[in-house]
Amino acid sequence: MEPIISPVIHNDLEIVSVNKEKGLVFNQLIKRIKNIGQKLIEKLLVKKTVWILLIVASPVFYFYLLFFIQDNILVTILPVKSEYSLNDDKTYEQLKKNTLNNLVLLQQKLNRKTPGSTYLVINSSTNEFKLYSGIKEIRKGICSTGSYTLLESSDNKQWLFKTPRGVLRVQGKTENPVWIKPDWAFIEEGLPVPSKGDNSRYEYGSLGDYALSLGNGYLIHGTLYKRFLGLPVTHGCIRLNDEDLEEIYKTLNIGSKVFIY
Amino acid sequence: MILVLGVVTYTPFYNLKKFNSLYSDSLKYSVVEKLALKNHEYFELKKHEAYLKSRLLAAKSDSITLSINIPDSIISIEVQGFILHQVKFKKAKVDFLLSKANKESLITFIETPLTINTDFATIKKEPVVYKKAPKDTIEAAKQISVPDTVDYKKVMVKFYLDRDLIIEMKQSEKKPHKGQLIYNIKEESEKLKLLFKDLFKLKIPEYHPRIQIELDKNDIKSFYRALPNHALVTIKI
Repeated sequence: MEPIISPVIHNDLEIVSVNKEKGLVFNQLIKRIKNIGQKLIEKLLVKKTVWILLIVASPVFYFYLLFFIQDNILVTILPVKSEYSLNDDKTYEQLKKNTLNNLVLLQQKLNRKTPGSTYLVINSSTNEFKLYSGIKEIRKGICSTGSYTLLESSDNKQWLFKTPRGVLRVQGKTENPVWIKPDWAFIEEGLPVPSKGDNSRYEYGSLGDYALSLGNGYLIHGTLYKRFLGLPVTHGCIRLNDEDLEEIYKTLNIGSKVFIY
Repeated sequence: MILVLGVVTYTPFYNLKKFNSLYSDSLKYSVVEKLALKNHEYFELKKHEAYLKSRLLAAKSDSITLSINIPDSIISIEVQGFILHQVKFKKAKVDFLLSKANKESLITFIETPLTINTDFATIKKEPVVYKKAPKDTIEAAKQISVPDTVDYKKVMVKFYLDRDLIIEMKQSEKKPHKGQLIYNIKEESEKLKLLFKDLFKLKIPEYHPRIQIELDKNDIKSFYRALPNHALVTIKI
């Protein structure tokens, strides 16, 4: 604040100094009004945004409320309490006994669906297997199943490499199996397809020590690529490591069920 | 808006009444049996009986079927009555329509297997990878790859069954929030679309009871990929 010139010195100066003081105060007042005004405008804008958001969001809340009511309104129906007890009447005791007997029969029928002998269960989604004898689990481990690769050749032939699902049976057992390579095995490697009886069709050792045939060309066999066990990498066959394969080969018989899902 | 609220509030009651009349059979149970069903213990026995009958009927088919036992928190897939894969689920939510329904109607509802009409899932049923045959061994060597095992997708499957029932399986593992929010928005907007479609036709909106189950995602994948199209489903509520 500027010093006020003493009013004793000069009358005109006195008026000027007072006017200057008033001017300062006036300027300060204007500044304050401007500040308040700015704050008000900012608040109003914020309020407007809030209102706009509320207007836009309220239908969403309304419909959520609608569906909440729809899903939960039935809870208002109170259960009817029955004072009636089965123990009060012999007829009802008989009904209960009949139902229990029926339950036992039905459960026995279902229990008979579990094979009594050895069987194998394969989960092709997680690439795991379990070997059972009746209800007892003998062994479990990882395997490899179909890769779901759709191979298309240059002449538009297609092969889908997937492991079939359902109930299959062991149709044959072989030791030291030889792989007779089909056409796709050559096409996949960019090799020319040889004639049917050609020596290059026969591959030794790549299927491991044992193989169990499930029909339609699908086998349970070993693998050289043990690091891929647990992954869906095969052309439809089921690959196991050497120890698991030996146990399964020795446990399952021809005709044993193999459940694949 | 109030009218829509009123209609939406009325819809479940209307559908409950419809459910009760559709699945009740006045000749099926004697007067004595109808009275006996009011007893909770007897009703539970009859429900279990209906569930086992349904499973035996499903066992006659050669394909894989789904079996859900809500009171025991067990879900399994079966083939010819043999249980292939069974797990205990962590959480289940059953629509109030099914818990408030008439006892006789509920037993009739679950006594025979239901059929999956359509399904919706966030994962592929058959994750087919297309591969063009290479021209030579050099190109074949470049194509060699190991499947990607990184699991980043949230797993949710919805089965739309006949008899207007919906079964929803959601992963119990921590879900990515963004994915969950987008899924919820899609689901609610689908419901909204159906609601307005019926309202414009001056029809009482359809209401489908749901069963929501939370499972490990590997189990959901195993179940979803094992079930064929139009698989049979047996349920105990």
